[in-house]
Amino acid sequence: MLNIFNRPEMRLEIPRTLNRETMYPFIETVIDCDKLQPKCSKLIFGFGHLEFIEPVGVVVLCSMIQWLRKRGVKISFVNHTKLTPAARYLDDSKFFERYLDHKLDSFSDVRATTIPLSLVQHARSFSYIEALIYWLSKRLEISPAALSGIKVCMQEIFNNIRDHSEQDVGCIFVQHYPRKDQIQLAISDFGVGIPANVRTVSPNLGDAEAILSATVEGFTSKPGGRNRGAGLDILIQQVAGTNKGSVHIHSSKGIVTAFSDYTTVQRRARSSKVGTYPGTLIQMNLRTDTIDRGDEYEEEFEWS
Amino acid sequence: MVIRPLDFLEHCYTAEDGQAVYSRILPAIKSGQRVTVSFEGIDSVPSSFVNAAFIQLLQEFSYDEIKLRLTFSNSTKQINEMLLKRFSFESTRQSPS
Repeated sequence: MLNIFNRPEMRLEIPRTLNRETMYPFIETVIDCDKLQPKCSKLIFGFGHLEFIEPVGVVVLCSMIQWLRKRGVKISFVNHTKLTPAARYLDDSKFFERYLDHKLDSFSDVRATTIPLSLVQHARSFSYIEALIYWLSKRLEISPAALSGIKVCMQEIFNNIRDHSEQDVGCIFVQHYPRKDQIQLAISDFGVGIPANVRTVSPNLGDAEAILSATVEGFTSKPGGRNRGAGLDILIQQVAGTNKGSVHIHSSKGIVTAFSDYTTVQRRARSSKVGTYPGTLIQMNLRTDTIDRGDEYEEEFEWS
Repeated sequence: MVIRPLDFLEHCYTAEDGQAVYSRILPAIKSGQRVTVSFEGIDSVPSSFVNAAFIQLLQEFSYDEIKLRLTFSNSTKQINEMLLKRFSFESTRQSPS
């Protein structure tokens, strides 16, 4: 029987800070991203060094575990029971309840500023997004209709996961930072990734250029069908253009960041120097001080 | 003729939702009727829905014909912008000047 695992058991220490920069070497340690295979059959995550984890780090950790488990890797945790601030944050996000079937601290509870870590299948995504928007409207004291632009961004992402990732599940975590007038939303799938899809129609593009192409309106890896290549452009126009927030898209070695310089939407592509992200990770930093309340009113339609 | 998607759909979200709307619009327009799609109860629509429900009509009719035969009511700023942006882009793509 062919043994696809290099080693039977590995221990992986989660770095002191887990975010979009530190995730690459972390992932590379246990996933052979060229062959898209785990490097071991049993993995022990060490939490002893972890001091700070961003919302995107929670999603990365969750996505990794889902990906590894799906490929038969047995997962366990060590040095996680000491209730450090980072451990408490994970506990309050329901991370340990998901993977250990119990909280670390029986008194831990979902923080008012977060929506807990969720694995959302497409069939459930419409109601999930409705609940997210309702929660946000309460946090910001505005009507849900005023958040229609953000709602559509979420719908575009989940429709993309279903249509392109060859998976049906998105891992998502949301946090409101009221003092910074910001919402951070991270969502990931560990599917085939944007560059692999893009290269079915544009085979010579590198990973970063492939993601950039995918964000251009009209580009689709499935021409002739129902996909018309609008989703990522709409996401970027809404978040970076209208909201004046920022979007970070990571897939394979490619990274695209979109932001506004107040006159135009800028899109910057670069390559990860260390490691890859097997799948697609999107982080949206939304500003709450630029939300247009005009969207909450009915508007007559007129052909231009 | 007025078509109200929420009369027969739970939501206007997916391409399948859009296809259900399209299957009702197409025969009506082909028979010469003017169709109004009412977005009553809906505050936003994603591109998957719009592409399937309305943009497909560009394969059967010209953009000018669609403008004469199809309109929308009970809409919002987000819905209007999505419709116009998608139609503008796809009609130009199909008929480059």
